[in-house]
Amino acid sequence: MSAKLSGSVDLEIHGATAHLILNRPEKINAMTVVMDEQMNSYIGQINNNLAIRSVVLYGKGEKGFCAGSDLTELDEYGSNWEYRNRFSRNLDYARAIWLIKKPVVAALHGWVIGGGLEMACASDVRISTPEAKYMAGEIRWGWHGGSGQTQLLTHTVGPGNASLFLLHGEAVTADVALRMGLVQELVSGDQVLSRAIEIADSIAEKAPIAAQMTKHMIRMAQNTPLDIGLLYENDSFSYCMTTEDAAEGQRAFAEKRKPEFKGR
Amino acid sequence: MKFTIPKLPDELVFEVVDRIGTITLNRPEKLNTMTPAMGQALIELVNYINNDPEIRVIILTGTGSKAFSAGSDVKVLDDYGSNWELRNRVDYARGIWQIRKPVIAKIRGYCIGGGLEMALMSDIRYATVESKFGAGEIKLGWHGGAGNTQLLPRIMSTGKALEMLLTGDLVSAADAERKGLVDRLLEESEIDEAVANLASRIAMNAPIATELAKHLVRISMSTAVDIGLQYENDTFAYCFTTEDSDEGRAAFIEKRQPQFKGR
Repeated sequence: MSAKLSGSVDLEIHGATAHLILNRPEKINAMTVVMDEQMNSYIGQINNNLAIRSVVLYGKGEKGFCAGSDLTELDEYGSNWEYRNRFSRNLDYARAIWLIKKPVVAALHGWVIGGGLEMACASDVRISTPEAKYMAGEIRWGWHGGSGQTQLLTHTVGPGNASLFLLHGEAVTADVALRMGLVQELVSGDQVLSRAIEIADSIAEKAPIAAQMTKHMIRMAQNTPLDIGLLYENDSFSYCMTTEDAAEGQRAFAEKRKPEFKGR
Repeated sequence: MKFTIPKLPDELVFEVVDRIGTITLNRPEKLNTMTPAMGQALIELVNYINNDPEIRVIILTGTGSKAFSAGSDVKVLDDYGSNWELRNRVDYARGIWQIRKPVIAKIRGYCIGGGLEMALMSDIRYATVESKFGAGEIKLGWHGGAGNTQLLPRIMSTGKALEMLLTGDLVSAADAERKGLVDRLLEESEIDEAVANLASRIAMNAPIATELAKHLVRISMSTAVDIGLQYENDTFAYCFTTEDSDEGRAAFIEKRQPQFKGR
């Protein structure tokens, strides 16, 4: 494993919110294999630690959120077959984001390219600066994204918009990304991170079981026939109503106070 | 990249011989039932198995002749934590499902509950004539949570699956074979050799092709047939980009055994 390249992915816990930070600002946070391993190493912890209820994902520096994989280092993943097996080797950073069970809010600025766009798509809520630029540039080099781009982007923005991204390969501005539904809000550069944290912290105040079930059911809505999804939703709703937190919610509503949720 | 076998508890044994990895559930005094700690270790082991190119096929079995596995140790179910934590558990049967390489279950004795789920998550099931199968959860007040209701009806008819799932009664090995749950029924004296032969035959084949064949069979369970046929054709084309497919063709022409490298 080459350790000569700079950069890291950092995990910070702030209250009930985990911050996943891409930390290689001098290279637009382009992901190395070491950073990929770090990202994957955090996922079990985030999923299993009951004290973590939401996640914020952002990149350091002025230039951008993430430029995707560092193309100078792709050989570090091994043979073509080994690179293909990233998912079952726990060595795919966008897949890692997709595997997080807690809601993920991405704060996006500057360049959001390739694998960076895939990490954004694998998040649940996307907050962008007005100057951010979104691009799936892989097609220009002779391939398409392999960690969700053709699938997640199409689910998020529809086939026409996805085709523009994936076949044209040019940058899409933040206002267009907003119209497409790729990002949910535009917030100025000095405010985007604090807005994402505000949303994540607000999610962290909700009943964790209900919030995580909601995320799960939204995934189901993208994955299953509607009638199956409706049946599943009702069973998951019934489960929520058996939790201590649902009883607390009903009491707090009657007593006109803020509920205190425990994740039970 | 180099990976090392994770440290395993005594209840979980793993060894690799001639590219065949054998996972042995080693808690015979408790019918090889699974604890949360064994499940956690199994997940780490699965990651290692998926990463080590020297391993081409997996045998999953239990110590002794009394049981393959009787599933979760009901006495330590509370170790999973709250109900929500149980729901979010690191599941051992799911771990078997996540193995990318072909998995052969070698079954002796009881194969019930979560043990049945581990067998269902395996690719090929060989069992002794004395083995017994059951989804007994229903007798205790719940149904299986890691594949019993979903995988049984993909192997056998829905009626036969529901007969097992709703009664929880044990099914004999002969009956299990008739239902399609057991792929080959063997005498106690034959099973080790039969499984070893099967494993070594699979291990001789090109790993990329065997892993993709497993993957495509999984896809066939999950997707519409027209999508699956197109997916199959693209991985077929991919196979022909591999060095191993060149070796296969050369060996065929030269009338010799191919030597595959997994490239």
